Amino acid sequence: MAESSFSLTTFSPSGKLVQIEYALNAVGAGATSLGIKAKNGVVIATEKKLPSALIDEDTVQKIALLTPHIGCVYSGMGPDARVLVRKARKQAQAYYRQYHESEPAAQLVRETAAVMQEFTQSGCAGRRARGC
Amino acid sequence: MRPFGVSLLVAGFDAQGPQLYQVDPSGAYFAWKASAIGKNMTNAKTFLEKRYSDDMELEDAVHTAILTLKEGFEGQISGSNIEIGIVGADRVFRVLTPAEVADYLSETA
Repeated sequence: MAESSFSLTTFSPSGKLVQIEYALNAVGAGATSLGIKAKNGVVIATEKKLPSALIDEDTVQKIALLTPHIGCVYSGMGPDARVLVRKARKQAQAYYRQYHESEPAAQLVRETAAVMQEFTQSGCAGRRARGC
Repeated sequence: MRPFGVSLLVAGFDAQGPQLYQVDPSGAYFAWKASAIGKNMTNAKTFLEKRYSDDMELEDAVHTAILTLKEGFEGQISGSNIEIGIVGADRVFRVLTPAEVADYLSETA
């Protein structure tokens, strides 16, 4: 148990969490994405550079809908982003089931941020099935 | 466990109006008027700072977004190698088709 609740993200002596800095490096190496808020709407955009010209680009979609009113785009590791999108959609559906209205963007963002925070602090608890 | 290797940009339109958020691997999040993440983010942000104005319409924002992507783009930009998502006052988020993106590209050329 002591072993299994050990977190990989621990403070360095200087007070930094280097795993988080490495994660930010992974983001910085990813494709450029940007967003602009206008008076009457928001636009998000991203580069869709594929590693080979032979990949069928019609099947690649980097922008995902979370609710009918909220969309998101990522920079960094695609598979990690898919996990977050899945969790965000599930959260938005739970909200809808309870309140019968679409979840406000601010709330969905806060809950998604909480998931990301959790992965910087918690150990292997709840993930033992994968053998840690 | 490891942190997520992604930053997200979330665009939404609800009772609070249009909103743009950035969420980082640490779990920190901020609302932005305009932001960029990933490769070239520093240059892209400088570009956005110059171009941004508070009374921008969505159409202008799409053009500015394309111009910003063009700045750091290696190779020829086209309707199929960038992706654009918009949400307007109708509060419906949608991803533009490659043909729509190509139309915007011809307008900004």
